[in-house]
Amino acid sequence: MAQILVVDDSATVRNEVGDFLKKNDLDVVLAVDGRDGLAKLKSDSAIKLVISDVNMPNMDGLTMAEKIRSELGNSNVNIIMLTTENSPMMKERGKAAGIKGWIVKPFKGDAVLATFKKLVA
Amino acid sequence: MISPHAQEGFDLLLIRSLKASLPSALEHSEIGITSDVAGLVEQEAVVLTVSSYLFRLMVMIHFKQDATTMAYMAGMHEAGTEGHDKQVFLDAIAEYGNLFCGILNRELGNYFPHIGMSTPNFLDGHCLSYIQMLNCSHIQHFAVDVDGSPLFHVSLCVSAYDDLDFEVAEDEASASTGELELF
Repeated sequence: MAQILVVDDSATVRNEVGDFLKKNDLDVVLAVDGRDGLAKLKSDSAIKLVISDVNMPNMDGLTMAEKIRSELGNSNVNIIMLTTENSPMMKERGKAAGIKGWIVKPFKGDAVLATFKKLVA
Repeated sequence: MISPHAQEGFDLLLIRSLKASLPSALEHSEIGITSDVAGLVEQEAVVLTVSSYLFRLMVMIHFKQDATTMAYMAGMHEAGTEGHDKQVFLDAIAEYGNLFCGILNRELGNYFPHIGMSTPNFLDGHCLSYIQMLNCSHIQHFAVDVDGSPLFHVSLCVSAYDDLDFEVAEDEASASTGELELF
């Protein structure tokens, strides 16, 4: 079953997003920062979608996205940023790293569930 | 120096961000400017900063770890009974600070494109006594009441590196949140 990797340093957000996805029959893996996210993605080929915060300790979400493409050579996994940031410069950096989309927090699951399901189908 | 317009603008954007960050289901809230901070009973604060090359501002959210605040935060994040766990509560209030300050950061970004925000940190509430030592150009305190009871207080401290002037229209709407922008 395709999995969704949720990366956020806030346990509140990890649980909120993770619980919502599980309630909607999606399989979820959690990571606490970009470094952890990268390691989880490396060891789990079933992950088809990454939902990640931007500002995190150890490794931020945009750096993680860049490393997913450059170091892991994984161009198939879809990456969506879930963040309080909305700066055009950050979005441009994300686009250059091949991210699929951008959500400004707070997370409103019902607004994005159908797209998430399509991305892991 | 921060112009009177700019001082009002910072206050207005902070109030707007607080309102936008409080969930609509719990909207019976009032946010007002207060000078009565000597007797604050909150023992802890979540602190975030927003910085540009023209200014740096610090926001302190003074909170209590009491049943009312814990229940409010649990309801906000749909944490259920887990909201009564201390670590879950601290994480929830830090994320609230992140959310609220993120809105403020985006609002200020309309006037100052080169801007960045910190992650949340915790400070002892007694640090408020030393706030004047920061020599900020603008300090303002806000009381946030929900259902007629005080929930928390917020302090705004702005340091300017140069003359600062901008004007915020009172009726400007906040940007939408929660929607997926596909690239």
